Amino acid sequence: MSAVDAFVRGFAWFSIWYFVVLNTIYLFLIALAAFNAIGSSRRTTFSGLGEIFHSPLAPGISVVVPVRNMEDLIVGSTRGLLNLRYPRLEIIVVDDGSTDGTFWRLQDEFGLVEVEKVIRRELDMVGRVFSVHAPSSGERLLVIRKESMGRPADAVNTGVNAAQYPLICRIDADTYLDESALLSLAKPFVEDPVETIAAGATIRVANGCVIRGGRVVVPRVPGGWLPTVQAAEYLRAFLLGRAGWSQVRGMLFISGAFGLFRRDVYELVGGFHLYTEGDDLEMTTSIHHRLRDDRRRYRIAFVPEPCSWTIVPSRYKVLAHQRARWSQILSEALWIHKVMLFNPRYGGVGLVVLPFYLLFELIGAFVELLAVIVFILGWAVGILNPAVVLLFVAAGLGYATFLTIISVITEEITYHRYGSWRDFALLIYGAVAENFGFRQIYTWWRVRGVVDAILRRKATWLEAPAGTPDVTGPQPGEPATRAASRAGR
Amino acid sequence: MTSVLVVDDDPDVCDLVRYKLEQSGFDVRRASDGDQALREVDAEVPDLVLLDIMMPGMSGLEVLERWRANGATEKLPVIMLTAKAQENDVERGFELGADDYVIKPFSPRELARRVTAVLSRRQSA
Amino acid sequence: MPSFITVRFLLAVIIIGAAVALALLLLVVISRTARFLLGRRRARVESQVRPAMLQAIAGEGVDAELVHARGGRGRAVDRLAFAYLARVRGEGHDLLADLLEQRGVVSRVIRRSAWPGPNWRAAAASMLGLIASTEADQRLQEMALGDSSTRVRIVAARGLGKAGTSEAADTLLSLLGPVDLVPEGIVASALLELGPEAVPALRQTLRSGPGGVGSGQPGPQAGSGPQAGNGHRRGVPGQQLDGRRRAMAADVLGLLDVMPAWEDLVRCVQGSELLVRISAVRALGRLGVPQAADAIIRCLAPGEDGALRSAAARALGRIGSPHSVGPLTACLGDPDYWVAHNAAAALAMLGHAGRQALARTAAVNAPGAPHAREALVGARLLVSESVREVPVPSQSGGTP
Repeated sequence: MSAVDAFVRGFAWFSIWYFVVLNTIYLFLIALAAFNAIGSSRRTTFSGLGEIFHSPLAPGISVVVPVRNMEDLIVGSTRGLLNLRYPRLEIIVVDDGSTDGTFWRLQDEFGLVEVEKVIRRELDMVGRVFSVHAPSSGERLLVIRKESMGRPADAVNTGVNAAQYPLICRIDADTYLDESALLSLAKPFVEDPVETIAAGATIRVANGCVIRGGRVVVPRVPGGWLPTVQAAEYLRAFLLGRAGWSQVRGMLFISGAFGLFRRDVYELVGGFHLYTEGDDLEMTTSIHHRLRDDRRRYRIAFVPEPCSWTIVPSRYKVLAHQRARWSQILSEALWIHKVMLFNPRYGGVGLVVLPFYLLFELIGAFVELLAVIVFILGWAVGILNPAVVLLFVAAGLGYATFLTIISVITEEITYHRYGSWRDFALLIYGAVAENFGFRQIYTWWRVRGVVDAILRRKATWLEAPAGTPDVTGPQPGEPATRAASRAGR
Repeated sequence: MTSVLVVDDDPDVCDLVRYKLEQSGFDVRRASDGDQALREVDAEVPDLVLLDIMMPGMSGLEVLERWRANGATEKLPVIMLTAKAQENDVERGFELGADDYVIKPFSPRELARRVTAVLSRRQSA
Repeated sequence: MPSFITVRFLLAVIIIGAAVALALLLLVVISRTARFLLGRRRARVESQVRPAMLQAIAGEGVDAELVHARGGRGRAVDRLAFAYLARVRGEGHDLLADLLEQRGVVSRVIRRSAWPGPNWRAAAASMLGLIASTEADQRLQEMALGDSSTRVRIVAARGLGKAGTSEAADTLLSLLGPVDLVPEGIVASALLELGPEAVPALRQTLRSGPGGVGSGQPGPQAGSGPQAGNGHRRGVPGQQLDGRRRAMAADVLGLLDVMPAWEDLVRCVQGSELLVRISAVRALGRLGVPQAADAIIRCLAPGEDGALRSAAARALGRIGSPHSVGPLTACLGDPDYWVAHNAAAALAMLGHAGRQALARTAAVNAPGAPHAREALVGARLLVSESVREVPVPSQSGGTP
């Protein structure tokens, strides 16, 4: 038996076990999450959202929307945000150097006039603020035009610096919220104002849905291979990634399109690193890092009710870019906070969640890619016999399909957002289709993201003062203008 | 017959208001959102509108603003239906020229009384 | 290759997996169909019962059919009755509560409120809150104080807010202890919901304080803004607990517009517990008590806590006393963003004198100029707004 044979056989068995372990962990998380979702869906009738809405004690929320070149979406989504059911609300749109008509559309729709605004310097900002605008109608909207630094973090930080309310919701312009979404998300803060520092929510795919006035009116599963697969994938991902982990206190990570954070905690961790994407995943990691350092008791809540919808890419190229970016965000977050890994000081986060991400998300991407190659070649050359290949397919793909189907079923018996048989059939189709083709391509995108992170990091590192940046440490960059200047344009 | 348009996204509220007002001798139409309300009024201007403030899509205040900007509906009597503690909305509604407001949860009898009161005030004016 | 990997073993694993998945799918298909059929039936039955229900709520007599309906029709009556209980008050509400009492629903719900499943108990508590009878209120008080599940206690506390008795207010206040039985925010909103009934208990709480003895501890995030979470640590003994309760009482009294409490509130402002002082300042601002202006102006002093100073600036804007123009102007250049920001916003609300002070600061390049300009521009927006809606005599003095 040659060394190649031995390697192929050995790796084949390793990857089979890898998938069995990974999918069993997922199964465990999904079971936890499904249990929780069933309980919470039974509680919706007495959740008291209406009472929060009527309560003058509800903490105000500043919604920060970083945008760049979104002229088609921006008016609808801003309108939708302004009409959210929440007693105290302001919307801050940060136009990060758009080169299209984004700003002008807003100006026409809302009758914006230039105003003065003192923007704090709590969080680091680099891009110059050109001007600040507000509607003449007195609506609670603020539009900040600023110079782009290429990555959204700077825009988010600027928005937070201009925010006046104690809670910050950072949201993308292509995400639609249900009317009571902020009420659901603010509920944990009302009930436990001391320890709750962040809350995340379930996100669904908005493609294919009937959207009116910035609101998803009729949820529908999109057709077409990529969107359908993603619709099923989101069901599973949110059930396990968020709801599952949230069952274990203090382990939750909020990522993606819709989360609510306390502003003082944002300020405590110094906002986003300027060279990052400004994603909630990074923010949550920073929060875990800092608050565990401070030995503070805190809680990150998760709201399993689906209340936000996001447009997913339907074109291959865009999707590839987005997924690679996610992987990069995760890599960067892990790199910035690497001291937390396997560190008992950081409790469950350091010992379980981050190592899990490291092993199964980052290193896992390479393992999975290699596994696909090894199995196809090994089988073709005849080193692996068909029984082993079949076992691999069962452990890796069959098991995963099973998990997605469970997720679809959980949705079905809990929130039941998708009404028609067509939607149900499409979701099942998506659950199966995901594992044959999509998953393998996704593995490749993940690998690319990690590589991007490694390569790009070097470029950024050169400017950073030290090898390991302090979470709250100073960032490179010139000071931005203190008040809104009339420069630019 | 005096006609009233009820605008509320909650069908239960619409049902009840309609029943109560029909018993009091009004001709009642209903709309479940702002767009529909605008269309209903375009089709035929009622004698009075009961307007919910918090609705999906266009809010009641926006609807009211549009009516006030239009000559045909400038003087249309409007009673706001609002949830408790929405003082800002009530204030803004009065600024826009609403005639009265009713707080939800509401008493059907009181609602009918206010409708009559607003209508008679308008007639005598 | 390990010996257990036989073709039969593999087949078995795959077949079992597939069978489980298929069985689950089948289950969903069945439950979906059932859900659909059931929903349709419910809607049909409800539409049959609805006219009689509307008639009852409108006060035109309760049909005997409603009282005696059983089975599917009975359930439809109960569902509709609870749906409307949340939507009406006054006579209609009492009629519905009576109807449910006659139908035996109230005693059934009370029995259910002791079932083992917390979700059942919570559902029962929310129904009792809607019914809001004396009997229901009694049971809710027991639940709020004694249930083993926090979730159930929360729902019960919220229900007490609707019950509308002064006894409920005492119960609600007693839920806050060294360890809160119900989170403070819930208690506060329930007290608010209670309204006038809660006032005696709240004023009592406010007066019960140590009055100048001891020192209040700032909250964990004091100084982080005018409305930053007014939460306070849990599990704190004695004095601090008392301060926490009094701070909440002050806030709720302000929100309830309890003018007669103003002298007690001023005394709290002059006290030494920071949390209570902040809440009292906020409450006086909401009430708009001109006599309190001087006490609040003293809170602006540079040595005071940032959260207190920014709350004071905000309150002075609402009170609108001309005395406060000078002290507020002095705060415009304050290094604390929120103090300066709120002072500017307050000055903009102080009419001609306030705007003139802003304009003077904005004109010279003083440290407070940006804040002053921001407030002036904001005020101008509001003015032009009201000019558009309601014709206001022009002369919007002060604006450059």
